[in-house]
Amino acid sequence: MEARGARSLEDRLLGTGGAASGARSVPPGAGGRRMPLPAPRPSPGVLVLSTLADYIPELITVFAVFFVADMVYVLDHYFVHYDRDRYRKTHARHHRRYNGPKSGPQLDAFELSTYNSAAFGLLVAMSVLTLFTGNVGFVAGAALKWVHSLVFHCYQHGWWTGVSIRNVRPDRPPASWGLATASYHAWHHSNPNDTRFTFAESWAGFDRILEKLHPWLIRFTVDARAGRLYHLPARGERPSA
Amino acid sequence: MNWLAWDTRSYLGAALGGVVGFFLFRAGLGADWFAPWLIGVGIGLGCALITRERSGLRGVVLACIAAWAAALAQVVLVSGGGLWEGIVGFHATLDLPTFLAHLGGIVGAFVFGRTSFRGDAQDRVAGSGSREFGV
Repeated sequence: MEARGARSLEDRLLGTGGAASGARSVPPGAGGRRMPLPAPRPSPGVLVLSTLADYIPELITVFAVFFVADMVYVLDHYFVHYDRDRYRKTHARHHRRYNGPKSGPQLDAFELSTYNSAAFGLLVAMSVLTLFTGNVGFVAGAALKWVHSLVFHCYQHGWWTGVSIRNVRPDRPPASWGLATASYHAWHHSNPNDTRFTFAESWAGFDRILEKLHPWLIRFTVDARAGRLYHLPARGERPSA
Repeated sequence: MNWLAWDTRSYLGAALGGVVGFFLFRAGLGADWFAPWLIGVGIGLGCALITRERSGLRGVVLACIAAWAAALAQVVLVSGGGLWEGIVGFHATLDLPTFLAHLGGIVGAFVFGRTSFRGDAQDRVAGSGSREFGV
């Protein structure tokens, strides 16, 4: 299958005005005789670039879906920490497990179900956008987030051995705006109530923004609405519910 | 599944409503009435009639299911040709009226799918599906 738009970019990159993509030009002064010019063979690098360029909208969509999905994950993670009943019923188990010696599989059934159902939900929602737009980037971005979520946590949980993660990774990560590495996110597992937010799994900037929004955003949490917070916090303060 | 608001009873009601909606859509086509939204509304109403819980997340899931169900119904009953080609080319069939007809079904599935017509219905407690994990 020929790549879409390969001609245009190839010709643009090679400056052949169509010759590279198979069109034959007649050089000036050729007296009207058709003098076929040898079509230059594009290098593999040019071909790769041209193929990628054909899928720029899809690639941008993949990135956007991945990015926005992580933001949604961060927000939901934040909200579950301020929903006492939901936290106790679901998420607390996750933190309890990693603050002790390893006593089960890398990802247990509950964690697998959580990651898989969140990712499956995202995939289903994005599949509708792909259906209505024809842009496969929506589904590809959701699939990428699914793979990332599992690989990221499996890699991170690989550090967890006979001692708890708190002892394996004792250093508090800096309040960075860069990539949220597995080491960075592991801090949240072992220190779930720290004022340094490390909810993010891809871009640490989400946490920095969340820290700034926290005094306002906490008003919308279940605990705040139920009056279970003693006081609403000042900036940088993170009360326990 | 502990996040998708799974409840067999609710989704069974949605499935039955979707089947009714499909046959109404087909009957409408015979009278030159293109109403794919009937499927989504059927899915939402079927769920709302039978479920004992209200759940916003379930409304979102049913809206997605309704979008796919109506698209598949259009491909099978209207577009003809292969199923795969029909789905891949579905977006190209969407002019504004067609899009709005489908959107109506999606909105209907969400609006009805998130609620319950039972007077004693409760809001679904997030994480209630996690009982199976013993937490």
